[in-house]
Amino acid sequence: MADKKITALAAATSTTTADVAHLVTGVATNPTNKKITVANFWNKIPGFIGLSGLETKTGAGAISITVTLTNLISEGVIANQIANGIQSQLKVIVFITDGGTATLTPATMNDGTTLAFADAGDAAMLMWIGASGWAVISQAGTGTPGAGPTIG
Amino acid sequence: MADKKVTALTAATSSATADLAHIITDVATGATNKKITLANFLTKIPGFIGFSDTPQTATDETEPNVTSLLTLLVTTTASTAEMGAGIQGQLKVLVFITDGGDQVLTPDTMNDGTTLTFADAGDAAILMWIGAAGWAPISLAGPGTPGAGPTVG
Repeated sequence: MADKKITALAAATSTTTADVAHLVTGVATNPTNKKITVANFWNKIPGFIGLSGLETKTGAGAISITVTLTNLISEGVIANQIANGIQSQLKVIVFITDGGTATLTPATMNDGTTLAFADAGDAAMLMWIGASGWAVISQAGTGTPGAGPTIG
Repeated sequence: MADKKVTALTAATSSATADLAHIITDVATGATNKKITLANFLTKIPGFIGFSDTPQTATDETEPNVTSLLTLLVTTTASTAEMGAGIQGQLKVLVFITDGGDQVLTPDTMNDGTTLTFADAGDAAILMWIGAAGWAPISLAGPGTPGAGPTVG
């Protein structure tokens, strides 16, 4: 293949576990070009995972489905919504300021219709599990074990 | 180094935070080749996280697999199932979507417990393989009052 800028290459819009990426290992001692499968890259993540995107949502309305973390603030009793996601997308919502209960109604939700965040510190993790919609896979809150948002 | 296809390179089977990847920034305006450490790549993910693997649907006695992130549990009657070992730090998400009877999951190795009982549709759990101690439930959730969800026994 003739030399070509990477920006000129055909674009992949998804990956498979067998795909390979270019990696430089031994950076401090003996930098070496290597390939690594996408499976090995994601199955052996060498550190923690962080997310640079953050939505701070104050008041009623739709929360983002393009960033993972939404910090939710209410200034009264409010209603919020979340649109449909894509397969296995994760969404984390943390109710950081309680000015009144925030009731979140996903456009599509598995085994429920609402999540009510009543106390500051209430938090939930949702996963889009397919046609059934957003599934609540984690609830947490301050105080006694079992605290957290209520699924209605 | 002579030109070489990436597929011809020696294979790395794991990576370190100091390893480097090739990235092109400012693609729309002034595309620029840069290197990035995996630490910076992984700790400042610029969008949301999704998993493209097809979820497994495990009905009744079918074991949740340890190769896909998400397994949807379905029962037509009270059932039991086992689950194999994972690898260090592996996450497994289980969502009980159809309740035809309790689903009692018995991982081959489980930290501080032996079973997870999914009694109501909507019950969900996140497990992490924490090493020799096995699968640890790190989150339990379910519809109804806070604290609902699968029971660890």
